[in-house]
Amino acid sequence: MSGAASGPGLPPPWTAPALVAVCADGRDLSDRVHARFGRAGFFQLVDPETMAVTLISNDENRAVAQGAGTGAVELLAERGVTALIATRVGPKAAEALRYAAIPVYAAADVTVGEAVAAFCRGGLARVDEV
Amino acid sequence: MTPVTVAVASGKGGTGKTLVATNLAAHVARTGLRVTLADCDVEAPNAHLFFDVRAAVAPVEMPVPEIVGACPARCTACRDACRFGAIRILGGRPVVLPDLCHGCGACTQVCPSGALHERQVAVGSVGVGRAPDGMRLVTGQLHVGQSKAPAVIRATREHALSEVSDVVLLDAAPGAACTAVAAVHGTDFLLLVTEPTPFGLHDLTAMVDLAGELRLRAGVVLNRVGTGEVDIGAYCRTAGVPLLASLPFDRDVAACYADGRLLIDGHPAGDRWFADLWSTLCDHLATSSAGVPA
Repeated sequence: MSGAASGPGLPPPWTAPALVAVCADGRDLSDRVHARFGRAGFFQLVDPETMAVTLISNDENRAVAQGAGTGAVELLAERGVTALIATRVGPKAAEALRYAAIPVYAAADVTVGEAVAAFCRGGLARVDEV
Repeated sequence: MTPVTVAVASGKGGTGKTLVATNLAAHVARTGLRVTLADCDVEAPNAHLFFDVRAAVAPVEMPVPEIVGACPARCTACRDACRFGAIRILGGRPVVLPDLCHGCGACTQVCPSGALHERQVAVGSVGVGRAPDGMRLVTGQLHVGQSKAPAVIRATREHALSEVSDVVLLDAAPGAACTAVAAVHGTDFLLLVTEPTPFGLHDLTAMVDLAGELRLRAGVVLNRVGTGEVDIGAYCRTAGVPLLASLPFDRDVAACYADGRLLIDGHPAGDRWFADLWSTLCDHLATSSAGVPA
């Protein structure tokens, strides 16, 4: 993976050991990237070296009236996540992600597996707020 | 002596809350009672447009924590105490997210190390003044970009009650959400303004439900009669809520309002409409614990 082609001006996608969190509709790499961050059903934590998936449930945050996004950031920070793949994150979650030093990469309308593969190729744009 | 408090509210926007609140307040003030009108629609207060009032303005502040000292290792006490998710452990230390803070102070209460300090943040203002006819006007105003409207509404109500009145009228924000609840809870009577349209009926139903939840006595003022076909009177009978007054859909009313003039000054029937409404309202207050203001 070391030769990942970062686009011009883009920072390297991760620093090892990498653990990429993806907002997911379901439990497998073949499930879609969820359109929302704080209220996604699951986060799949993917090791890009092995494509091994650890599933974490976001039930605790998705049901709350407010603060779902920042709660999800805290959950990911506790698990040592080093990058997030999401369709979009809201402004408060984006602020929390900056504090947690977790960069965000945008992906939409693809499976989790496709998104991580694109991330590894340096094919996802880094965004603070999509 | 505690004043009689009457909130004017409506599920739907633009039904005539401010029209009813301003004219009723001015009418009652002219009967010789001491009246305070509190504009609790803090995101868009406009009752002041109808009165010649020079207001003294006081800030409304809310305490927001900031971390000024060293936290004990792995301490999460403030995060655990916050019900609003405004403190998160990020990058191994607590981080305050002020946008989510409700200013409750729980975090500083539980902090074992004194690392948290409360900073006062201005979220709005309250203006207090008196109209020439003696009516006292209290206007809450939320600062642009702030989201803590209930804090400003609470402060507006406190200012409204800071001086002796016989009657306090509260003009609430439209809707049945927290801003409306903050303005109407605990009042002696809820005047629900609506119009005979499907939207007016739908949103009135939500407000009658809210009155039930909050255990408030309520009555309906039907405005713009003639603008729609919906039978609000039939709904009121079914729901057991009295219909206290009906105001017509009348070009002269709109012209007077658009001029920034009270109907009781600028419309030939205005004085009678609001005298009748006040009299009917007093009949209903007489059967409650609030009693009739005298």
